[in-house]
Amino acid sequence: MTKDEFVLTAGIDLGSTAIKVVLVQGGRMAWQKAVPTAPGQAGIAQKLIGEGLAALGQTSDRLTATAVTGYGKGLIHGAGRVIDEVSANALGICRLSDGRARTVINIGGQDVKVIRLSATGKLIDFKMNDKCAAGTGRFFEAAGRILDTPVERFGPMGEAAVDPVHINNTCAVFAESEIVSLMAAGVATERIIQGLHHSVARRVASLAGHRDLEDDIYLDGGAANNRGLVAAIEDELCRDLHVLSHPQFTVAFGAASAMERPPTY
Amino acid sequence: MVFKLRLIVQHLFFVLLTYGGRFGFHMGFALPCFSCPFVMGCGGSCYLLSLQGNWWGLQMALANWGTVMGLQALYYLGLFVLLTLALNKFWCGWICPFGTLQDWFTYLRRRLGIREAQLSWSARDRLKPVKYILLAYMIVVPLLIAHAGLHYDFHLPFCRSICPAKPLMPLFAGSTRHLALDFTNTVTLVFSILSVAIAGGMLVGMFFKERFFCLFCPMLVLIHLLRKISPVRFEKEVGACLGCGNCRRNCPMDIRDVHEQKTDKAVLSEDCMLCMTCTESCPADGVLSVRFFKWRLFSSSRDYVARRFIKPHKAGSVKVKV
Amino acid sequence: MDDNNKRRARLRSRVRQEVQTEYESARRLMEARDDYDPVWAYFLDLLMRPMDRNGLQAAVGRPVVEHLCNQAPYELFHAMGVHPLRMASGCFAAGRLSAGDFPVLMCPMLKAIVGMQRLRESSQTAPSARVVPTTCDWVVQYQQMTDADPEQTFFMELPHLRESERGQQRWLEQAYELVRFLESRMGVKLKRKALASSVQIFMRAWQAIGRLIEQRRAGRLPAVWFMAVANSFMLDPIEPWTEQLQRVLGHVDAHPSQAAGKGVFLAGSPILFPNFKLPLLIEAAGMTVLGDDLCTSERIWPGAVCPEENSFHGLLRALAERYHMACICPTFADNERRINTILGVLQRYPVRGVVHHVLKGCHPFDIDSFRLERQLKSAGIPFLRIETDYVEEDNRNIATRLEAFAEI
Repeated sequence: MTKDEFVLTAGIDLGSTAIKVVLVQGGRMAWQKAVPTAPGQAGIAQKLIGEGLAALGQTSDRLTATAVTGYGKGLIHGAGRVIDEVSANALGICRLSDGRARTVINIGGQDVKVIRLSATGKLIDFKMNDKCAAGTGRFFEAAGRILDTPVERFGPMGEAAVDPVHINNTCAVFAESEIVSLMAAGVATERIIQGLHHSVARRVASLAGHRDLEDDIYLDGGAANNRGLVAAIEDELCRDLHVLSHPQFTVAFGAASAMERPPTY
Repeated sequence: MVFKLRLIVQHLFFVLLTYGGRFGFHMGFALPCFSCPFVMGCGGSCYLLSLQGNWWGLQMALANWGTVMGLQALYYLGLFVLLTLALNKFWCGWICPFGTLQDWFTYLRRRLGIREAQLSWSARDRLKPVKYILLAYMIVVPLLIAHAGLHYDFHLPFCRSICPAKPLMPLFAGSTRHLALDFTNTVTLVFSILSVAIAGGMLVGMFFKERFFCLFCPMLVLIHLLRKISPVRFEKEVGACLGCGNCRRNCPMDIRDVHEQKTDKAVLSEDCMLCMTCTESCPADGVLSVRFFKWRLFSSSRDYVARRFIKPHKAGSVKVKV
Repeated sequence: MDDNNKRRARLRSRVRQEVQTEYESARRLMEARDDYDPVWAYFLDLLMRPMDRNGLQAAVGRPVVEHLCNQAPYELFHAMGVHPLRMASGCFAAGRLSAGDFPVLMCPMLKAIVGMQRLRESSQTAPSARVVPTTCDWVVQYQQMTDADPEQTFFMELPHLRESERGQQRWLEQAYELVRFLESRMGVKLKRKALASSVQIFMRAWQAIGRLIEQRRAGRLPAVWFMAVANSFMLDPIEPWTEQLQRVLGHVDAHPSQAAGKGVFLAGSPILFPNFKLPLLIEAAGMTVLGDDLCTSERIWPGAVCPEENSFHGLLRALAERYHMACICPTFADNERRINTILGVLQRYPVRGVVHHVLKGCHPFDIDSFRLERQLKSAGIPFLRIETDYVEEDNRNIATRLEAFAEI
């Protein structure tokens, strides 16, 4: 499909842990950046867009449209069209996978979503955890603090573990004491980390429901960068997962893509 | 209001079929309803008489194939089929004079405030085969007379030994002679005793139980056999039925099928007499409908139920005192 | 001991304050809406009444008999000169007063009911009698939860099979039992004439609400207003309520609202003022609830009372069946027809999805929602289950899901 090279759109994803901004040009992710969520999201997002435009050598009047999504989308007024994060995610993964994705699992800061989509990126159905944030990004952050290991290292460390320990809890609060006692028992950090990945994977798998899942499953959200977790989920689902580059930006990309009009010529 | 129209039609036909002959009105000898030919001056004759008759019965058609007598029997049969196809069970609920008579008893019982007798579901189900037995009886006996040498005194077995319309309906023409016992011989005596006894039993039955005789009516079976090719359809939109049970409770025949049907569209069941009482009390729009070919004759609706069951608001209506 | 009593009294007065704040802010929210009209004021007034039982008692002018479920026929109470009042409560704050004494996963509505009763205990008159149809597992424990006088509580034994002969006979017997119970407690005799007259009075309300349901399904009346009207049922004597309903019908005819966004059907556990959380969130997500099968809303009036005979028995049988047979509560084993209401609405109105509300701990609706989901999805109808409690903390999460659902 030919995209209008002159269409430049921005997608802002105001997540619970990070603010992600993506600039899309000609249907491709031209620039992206994430910063931790902090008060004054509107200003932060605007600053990021400015930064991106500068990096692309563009001026703000070249920006065709902006879309906002994510938990904080209601906080920004007049910044652009508001799009819900599930539809944005569906559209984003559809475009990024060239229409191959049928299912996408998103592990976000405080929720887990399993989304089914059509070949054109239309949302067909989705499941989402209820108010409890067990097994989400927040859970890894909490575990990282106790293990005194940055979350970024969870992937390689977990992958390296040969014999993951069994962890019962996906609840951040209860897992804490479980991790502490495992550490006290001298269990290697790698084994604990991979154990955590498996406990989260079990939760994700039960939410996804093995039966209904179509093939071509994609994983996105910040946690998709974690190879250990991906392996664990693949293990639990007995399916292969696709992870694209920049999985954290799928939703913002989807929002920006929604603003692209079809070519007018 | 359907029930009012039905009352008018029922009584019109009661008069026509009971007294019509006196004014030269006669609907023929193949009516699919209990218009008793033993009523002097009746306006039409029940087909069951033709079916069993020595000269025009089915056994005649079989025995005298191709002769005038055989053709005559086939003619009655053909006429019966045509009439049945045209109106189906409307004959029962809207025309049958004996049905109307039963409705009078129910009206009387309700006025007297006497509770209707309730048949248990199993008893109701056990009664169902009776009408088939009666139908077999009225077909087999004439065949035996014609082919197996059974004595002629057994002729018209259903009319003379079972049917309560024969002793009762002539009363409306001022004749009590069918209440008398026939002492000619044992057969006639037994037949007449049975007839009067059954009529007596039915009188009691139809007082305590709405349309009591219809539970046993062999005509229902005959009409029912032709339902598949009749243009009269009674249908249910099963996907929108709320299951409130109004249809079942209001049915004079205590039919459960209409309520219980959850998959099939056709709900014209064996005992149904198309009185449409169920359709009148179904509050779900379009769930029950009676059709003639593709035309919808009547369909259930919330609005109709409101008009049917809510009395007009009187100024200063009765308020319950505490 | 004295200290203990003081502490309790202090807690009670604090919760009472919270309850009042909750009701009033819910009311203000309704009054602040763009589509507010003075015609709604009457109904909002009624919705505030559960806070003040003495006031309610005075307003209805009859002894109040509480009941826990629609299946106890309203007309029976009415014909005996008592006022039936459904105990159900949607008050979040009241539940906090009783939460500590019951399982965490217990039905929040029942917690709120018990909470409201405890609030009343000190200052207000206790109702003279209570009628509890044994619908779900929580409800059958009602007696021991409240320490109510067993002599004054009547459990209507609910057969969980309706389409069986025995079930129907049993329920009719229970209706007769209820009459006997009320007769003995209230010292009145139920007469056929009074019953017939009550049936007529309630049928008129049924007819009027039927018109309102039509308007609502056509998208001319926002769901929250419909629910406000439905929730106020029997918070005032039936006749003035019906009259006000006629006024509302006139108002809706004159000022129909425009249905916005996707039309959805709201199914599941009961929703009661001031807990308008879910309907408001659905509205905020850009959808319009065109129909529902909530027993606190459209399902208060599932069918019509069409007696076969106008005798006492005939009326009672029609009443018993009207409340029993058409009920869609998944407490029944033979509940296949629950989907029919949805399909019926779907056929005639632009409903494009079903939102299923599950109150935490409401097991029958929770379990049934999975069957419904299968049936609806196989028919190509989008379905969204929202499990929630009497809390505000999951609003954001629910909103996210509803917004996405609006896009399906």
